[in-house]
This record gives sequence, C-alpha cells and structure tokens, in this order.
Amino acid sequence: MSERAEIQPTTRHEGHAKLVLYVDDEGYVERAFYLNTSAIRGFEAMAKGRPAEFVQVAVMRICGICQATHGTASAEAFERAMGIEPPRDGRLLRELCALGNRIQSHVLHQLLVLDDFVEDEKEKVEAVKRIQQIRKIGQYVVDVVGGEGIHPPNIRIGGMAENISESARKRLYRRLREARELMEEQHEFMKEVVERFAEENDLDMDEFGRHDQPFLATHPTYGDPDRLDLDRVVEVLPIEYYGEEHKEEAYEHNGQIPLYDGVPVEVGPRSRYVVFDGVDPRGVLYIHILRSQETLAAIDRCLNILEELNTSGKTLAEWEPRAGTGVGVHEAPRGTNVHIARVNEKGIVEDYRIIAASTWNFPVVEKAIEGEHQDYAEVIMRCYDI
Amino acid sequence: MSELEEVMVKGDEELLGEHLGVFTARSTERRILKAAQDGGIVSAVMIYGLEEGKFDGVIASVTDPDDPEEPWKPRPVVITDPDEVLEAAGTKYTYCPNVSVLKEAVRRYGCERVAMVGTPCQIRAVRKAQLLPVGMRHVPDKIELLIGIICMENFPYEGLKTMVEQLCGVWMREVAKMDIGKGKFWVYTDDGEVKTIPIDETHPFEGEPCHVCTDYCAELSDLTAGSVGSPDGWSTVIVRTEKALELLNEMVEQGLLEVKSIEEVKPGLGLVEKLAQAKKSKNQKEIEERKELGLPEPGKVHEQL
Repeated sequence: MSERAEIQPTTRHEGHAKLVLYVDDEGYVERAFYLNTSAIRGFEAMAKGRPAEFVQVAVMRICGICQATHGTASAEAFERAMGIEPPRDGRLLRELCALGNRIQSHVLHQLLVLDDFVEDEKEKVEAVKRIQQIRKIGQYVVDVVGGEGIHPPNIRIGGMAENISESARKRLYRRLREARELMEEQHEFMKEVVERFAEENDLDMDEFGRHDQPFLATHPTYGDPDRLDLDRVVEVLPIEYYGEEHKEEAYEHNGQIPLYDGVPVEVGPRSRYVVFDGVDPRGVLYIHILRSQETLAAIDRCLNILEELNTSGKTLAEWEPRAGTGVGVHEAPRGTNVHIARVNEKGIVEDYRIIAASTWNFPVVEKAIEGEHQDYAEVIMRCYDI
Repeated sequence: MSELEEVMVKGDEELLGEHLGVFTARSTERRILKAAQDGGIVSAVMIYGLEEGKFDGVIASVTDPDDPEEPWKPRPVVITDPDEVLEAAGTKYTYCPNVSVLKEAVRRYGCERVAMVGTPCQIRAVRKAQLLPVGMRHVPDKIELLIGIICMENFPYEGLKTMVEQLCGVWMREVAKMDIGKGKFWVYTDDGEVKTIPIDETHPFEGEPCHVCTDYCAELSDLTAGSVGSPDGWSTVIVRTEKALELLNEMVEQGLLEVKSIEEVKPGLGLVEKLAQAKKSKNQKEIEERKELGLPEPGKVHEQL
C-alpha cells in the first residue's frame, strides 16, 4: 500500500518546488512527482505586441542567476527571425559573457549542495571561501564583458554593444588563470566528497538514481538550434502528462512539460558530456562530478576566446526589422534553453515561446528518484541544479 | 616632516574645505609644463600614478582643437597608458561629463584603481555614488584618487563659442589655449596673438546650474589643483587626504614636483579665499532667492521630505 509523502518546499536549489512521493512499506519511492510551484510571470504573454529590442532585454528577468542565457537565446532567436548576423567578435564576446555566468552558477550550486555531502564545519567553510573566490571571478567576466554582473545590458540583438579594452582582456586572462587553479582544487574536492558520500551510504555510483531517459544537448559551450529538431518537441500540460488520476499533483505544477519524441529528456552538464564526449551517464551523483568538470572546461574555453578575440573588432551588426520566425538555443548552466520568436515587418513580436532549461529536467528528476529510498529524494533532486 | 609638509600652510577650512595643507607647485618635467595649463600638477600626478601602478586607469577629458565640426569640445576618456595622459592636459572651459565614463572604466576597461579629475560638482557626485551606488555597482571601492579643480563657474559649449568667436573675435579652431585670470578671459591664438575680455562680460554665458553651487575648491577631493593664488606656470595645490599627501610626498622626493610655500608668492592664498567667499556668498544669495520661490535647496532636498 503506497503512502503519500510531501516535501514542501524543497530546499537548497533554485526556484520553488515540491516533491510528492508515493512510497512502499520500506520507504522506497514507487511514484515521484516533482512539481514546479514557482509563480507564473507571463513572459510569453508580455512579449506579444512589444518591440524585439524590449523583449530581448526583458526576458533576462526570468532569472536572476542565469540571466545571461535568456538574453543570449532571445538575441539569437530574433537574429534568426530577421536574418541578422552578429560579427565574429560579437559572437565570441557573447559566448564569453555567458560562460562567465556558467562558471559562477555551477560553483554556486556546489555551495548549495555542500550540506548534503559535508558535515565538518571547517571543511565546509574552506569550500565556501574557495567557491566565493571562483564566483567573484566568473561575475567579473560578466561585469566587464556584459556591462553588469546581473542582467548584462551589453547582450543585444546583433551581437554585443561594446568590445572590451586590451587592458581588460589581459586582466580577464590573468583572473581566469587564477580561477582555473582554484577550480582544480574545487573539482578534486567535489569528487572526493561525492564519492565519500556514496561509500558511506553504500550507494553504487553507477546505479544509484540511474534512469533510462535520453539525453539532449546542442553544443558544449554555446548553443546550436540546428541540433534541436523542434518537430520532435512537444509541450504538454501537466494534466495531460500526469493524467486525471493524479490531477491533484498536476494542478500544482505551474508550467508545461516539454517532451522529446514524446518522452522526458535530460539536459544539462551530463547531457553535454554524453552527447559530445560519449561519456557513460552512470548514476545520478555523477552529475555533480560532470558539472564540476564542465566548469573547468568553461574556464578553458574562456581563456581560448580571450586569445582569439580582437578587441578592436566590430561587435554589433546594424539591422533593420523584417518579418520572420526564429529559434534561439543556448546551453544554459542548467540545460538547453530555447526561445522562439515571431516578429512582424516592424520588428514587433507576434508570438514568443520559451522552454527554459530547467523545465526539461522536472520529469527526469522524478524518474531518477523512482526506485530509490525517499530519504535520498532531495539529494537526487539536487544533483540536477533545478 | 617631509619637504612638502614643511612648506604647507593651512587656510580657512570654511572657505577651502577640510584640508591638510596648501602649497604652490609645478612639475619639473618640461614636456608636462609645455602641455599644461599652469603647473601641470594633474598631469604629473596621473602620469606618476599610472607609471607606479597606483592607478590602473585615469579619467580625464580630451579635446581636438582642429575638429572641423566642434573644435575644443571635450569628451571624457579612460586612459590606461601613461604616455597618453598629456593628450588630456590643459583646461577646457566647458562641460565634460567625466563621471559618465566612471562605470565604463570599471567594466569595459576592467580597472580597479581609478583616478579622476573633475570639477567640484563632479567630485561631489562621485562621493555620493560611493555612499549610495545606485547604478554604480562595484564602483565605490575602486576609486583610488579624486583630483578636483578650482571652479567659479563653467560654460556650455555654445556659450564658450560665443565668448571666443563673438566677444574675442577669434575662430574656435584658431585657439591654442584659453585662460581665466587677473579678472579677464584670455584667448591665445595659434599664430601668437592674445585677445582678452573682462570676466564680467562672460557672465551671461555661464551654465545655469553653476549659480547654485557653493563649492569653489572641490571640497570633497583628495587633492585640488588650480591656478588661482599662484604665479604663472605654477599651481595652487590643496591636499586633503593622507593618501594624497603620501603620493605628493613621493613625487617631491623623487624630484618630479617643485614646491614652495604659498606665502612666498603673489597673489597668494588670500585671493583663493577671497574668491571662495565671493562664490559662496553670491550663490547662497541665489539659493535663498530660489527658496523664496518655493524651489528646493540643492543638497538639502532630503531635509524637506
């Protein structure tokens, strides 16, 4: 006989959600519901009838942590809709800006999950200090390249509003090298504490929280709409996904559930490694290690971009509005972020759709939890940085 | 006590603002004196600071006297190379929005130790931003040094142009240097002529906001430099903070600045204090008249809320 357990609100993750678990006599989860209780803001509705330039800037306010990805995906969507091609250096700076944000966001998540893996206060404080140093550097990148650490205004339709100065480029390079050293330490730390947790709780790193869902990723560091076949994507209402018999749970999920080929797909750092590096996904705890690995890779790509960047190059294309529909895809820290824009010949938005990165993972979290003990439900959920 | 501290004297803090001392000085480098308005103090401090790594960026104004559209119209710049500082030397008697590039210095230029030269109102604005950084996130702790200039009033570009072209009869693009001193507005042309008009004739062209300003010597700066009180080719320097004093001491010790007691020169500190008093009295009167009309007193709006 299934017992119903609720964890509300779930803690130490971004956004607002609750877990509803149907567990057996021994506490193992037979059915899990991970429900997004964040309030509806109505960005898609707000965009209608408004100029493209406003919408591209406004959508960054979807999230205070990952604002750069929304500004980027939106700019990409409008550029494709209106046939605008950002100059090479604008495109590089845009990638750099969002990677600065990715670095900051990934290690912030590591701070949030510390309590799951570390009990010793001293160990925690040392990790927090290191994380904050890395975050400061990630935010410095966004500050300088994006013009502001939160809601970077330099991300524009057509590229980036400004290039950086030579002195800034050198400074960023030095700072990122510092960040790399710190991140190497942090990565070793994450591997150690996660593996230690698995050992102490007798969990198999390969099997614990493993699911059978496919993986979706379009690019390791930026985003590629050509690798996302929208014909295979459908967004369903929770009541359609969960069914009438679970309508109580369904009505608590604010938002739609995106499916690829009719099933939930995982997005995020592990997906990017599975799709582009052929890595074996292993169990759910492995996501922490891959996210950490991805942060190191992000730092390397930033250093790479700084070497390739021409600080005197043009960064913003001139453009005129024209009618069209475009899809913008950006690999946010949490997964594949999709913005779809339709504009009229005056550049006014007629329709706008957003599939925010985390929404793909909600049904996947459920699959990862099902079959495991309820005591680990939140730990598993937190592996997803959702 | 350093050489500098021995010649420094204190003036009236009610008129000059809080300070550690006042003295007269000039740069010892010929290339600086050639480009400078008076003693080249601002340029010398900026060059020294950049070269010694005390600043990684300075904000100043540059102007192109030969610009075909608007000769002598200044624009604010962030300078990170000490060799470029002298391009910004010399007084421009018109508005230049230096504060508008402060955030850019910290963001796009990635600077973390910024020095800025500005009029008293600009210095006050930056100090306010340091206290309440609305729209100035991550800027306050990166201000290394604020250099003020002595200012009675400023002129909008069109006003300055009228003064030069209509009143002095010289084309803007022929002007090599402008100056205000000895009760006159001076224009020096490229080919060596000098035209002057009495200061009183320039009053109609002043900026309106200047009429309610009671800050003559940039009272919130780290150090202030200006021509008033010192002989030609020298600047009156008011040093206010320990940080500024330390920097100036270093420059004097290294032979980069020549200093003298302001009591040994004419017209002397008395003139600075006299003009400060004149500005405060005249403009306070204007403020009172506006208050009668029901307008708020600048800097004191919060008292009426």
